[in-house]
Amino acid sequence: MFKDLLRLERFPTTWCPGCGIGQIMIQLAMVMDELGLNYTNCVIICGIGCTGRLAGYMNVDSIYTLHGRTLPVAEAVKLVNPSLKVIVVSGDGDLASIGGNHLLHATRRNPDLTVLCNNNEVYGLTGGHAGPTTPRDTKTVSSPAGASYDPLNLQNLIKAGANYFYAKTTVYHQVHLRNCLKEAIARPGFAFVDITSQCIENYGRRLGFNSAYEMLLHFRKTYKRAPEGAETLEPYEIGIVRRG
Amino acid sequence: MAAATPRSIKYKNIRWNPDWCKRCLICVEACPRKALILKDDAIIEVEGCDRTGLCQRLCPDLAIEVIEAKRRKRANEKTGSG
Amino acid sequence: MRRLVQGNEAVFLGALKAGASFFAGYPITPSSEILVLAVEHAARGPAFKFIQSEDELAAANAIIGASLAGAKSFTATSGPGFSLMQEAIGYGHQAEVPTVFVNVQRVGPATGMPTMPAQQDILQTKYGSSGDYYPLVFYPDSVEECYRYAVAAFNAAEESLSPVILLSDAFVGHLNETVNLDDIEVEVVPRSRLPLGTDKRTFTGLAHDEDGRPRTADAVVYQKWLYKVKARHEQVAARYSYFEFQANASSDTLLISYGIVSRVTAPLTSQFALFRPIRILPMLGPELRQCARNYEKIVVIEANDGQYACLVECELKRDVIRVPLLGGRINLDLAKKGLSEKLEREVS
Repeated sequence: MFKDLLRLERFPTTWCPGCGIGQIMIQLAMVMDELGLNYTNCVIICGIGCTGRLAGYMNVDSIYTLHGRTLPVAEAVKLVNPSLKVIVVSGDGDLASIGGNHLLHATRRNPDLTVLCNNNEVYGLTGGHAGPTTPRDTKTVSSPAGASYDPLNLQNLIKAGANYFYAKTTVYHQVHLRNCLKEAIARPGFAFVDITSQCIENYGRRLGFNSAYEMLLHFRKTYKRAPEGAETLEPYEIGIVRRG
Repeated sequence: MAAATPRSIKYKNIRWNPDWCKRCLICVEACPRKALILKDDAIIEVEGCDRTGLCQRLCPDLAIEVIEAKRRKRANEKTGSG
Repeated sequence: MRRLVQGNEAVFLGALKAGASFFAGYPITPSSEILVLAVEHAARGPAFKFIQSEDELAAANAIIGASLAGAKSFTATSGPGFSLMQEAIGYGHQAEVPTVFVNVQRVGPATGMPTMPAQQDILQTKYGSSGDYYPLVFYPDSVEECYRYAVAAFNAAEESLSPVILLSDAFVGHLNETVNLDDIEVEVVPRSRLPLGTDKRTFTGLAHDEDGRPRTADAVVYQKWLYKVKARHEQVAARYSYFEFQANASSDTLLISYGIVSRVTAPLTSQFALFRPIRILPMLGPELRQCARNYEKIVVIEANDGQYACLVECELKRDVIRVPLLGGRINLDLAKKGLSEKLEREVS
């Protein structure tokens, strides 16, 4: 029962009403349950940010690391105990900004880790500051005139490695998300799952969304499945690209 | 704002957790039958639910779920309705 | 077997003796020998794991993860790398993680003088990370001591559940001395906490309660936790009160030095009483007070601008005369010159 993997005694969760992280956690728990992952064979490593709070709600040994340092910690855990499934759950800023160098070298060293990137395009916990995946011209607390730069291309970054696994999905496309997670976890190497999700409180409402559901509808409308066998995911395509 | 007590609200098809629910209204907006509303700080089931399960599937907080058929039957037996 | 051993090598061998099975590091002069010894050892068999990290931030965090996963872990660096590692050291104190950070000091600040010895990170070991924390720090002055106190560092880490700092410097690290390490008897404290993958715990850098649950708005819980940790560290430190003292009835001055400087000032035993702390932190308060009792003057001679002197003054509430040896030149003539100047008499 996937609920056994959750610390229900600590509910309600700390996340804002309508936040997508709760759903990511539920989907992860469902997949872990299906795969037989539990506290005897799995460890979850979370970064700093709203996403990081996920560790405290799961019934496995977990580490809530310093900002940006999930990958070095996770790689070391896996190296010391290869029998553990090591799953990293973190945000776009934690993984690709302050943690960027470690992400770069993960594409090189290819450690056997599964990374769930909660990509809500913002630093939510600090109040809604622009992050490395915030689209150009988006107004946030730290980009009041609109974000000056193009966002990082996470797909290209992950594809820098000789072998790679990059999945793009959204928190709305639950079945697709679960399939991405299953394949990512099964893969013996570095697997990066880029999950678009909603931060309604500190991002979406400033962009004009009236509710979390409106953001979910936006994901449904905007993201389309990539064609079968595509080697590159175009913007707003969900799918998996892999090599090796 | 006083929270509505679940005991005083009748549910036929769903179970709602007032402590876990954050009133984000995803379930209310997502329901294709418009069978859920927010009233007096509680999620209320109104006429029309045909158990699509979308509320349960989209809730980020496990705060609403479609009750299993046999439990629904038991609930109906308890309230005496058919 | 009696053979020539390098200081850095002795640190590595001490780590192995203590049961270390994980090293992550980044090359930096004058500590890189330890990294190379680690990768060579890892190549000999699967029991010892090695990562050359992309930077010191990764190395410092890797040894935290490795420790929680069940390995005795360590890293080795120098001043600039040590600065980068401070956040992870703080994390180790907050999350109560046993591990060892070796800092083979060189002249700073910043890139400084990569090949020149210094003792300029003393206060960084005490205050380098944010927050209040109570680190255990050891500083050997010979190849044999590098071995002994590497083992002690790992033991103290296990007992205190914290990151212990083993200091060294470019000279001690590169000293070659004949020793027989096999003859040195040491005890090894085993790992007590169960590794990851056996329970449902959260290890976090947030302020937390006994269950690892974040408690970020409760001053009472925080204070209780901080004083519990402080008491534990003080109790552990009391079992590791390493120092050397040579009284001198014919002198009115106590000369304090440590690390490479104490090797250089050793011949001055005829003119001064000598005190050498090996445990740098927590301060050897009662020991210093006792030894300094009969001496009118206290001098601290060190390869920095008065960092340990500052701590001694604070601890003893007495004035301390400072003799700094800066820029990597550390020799007896300079020491005598500095002492003569500060004591306003000839020291020969």
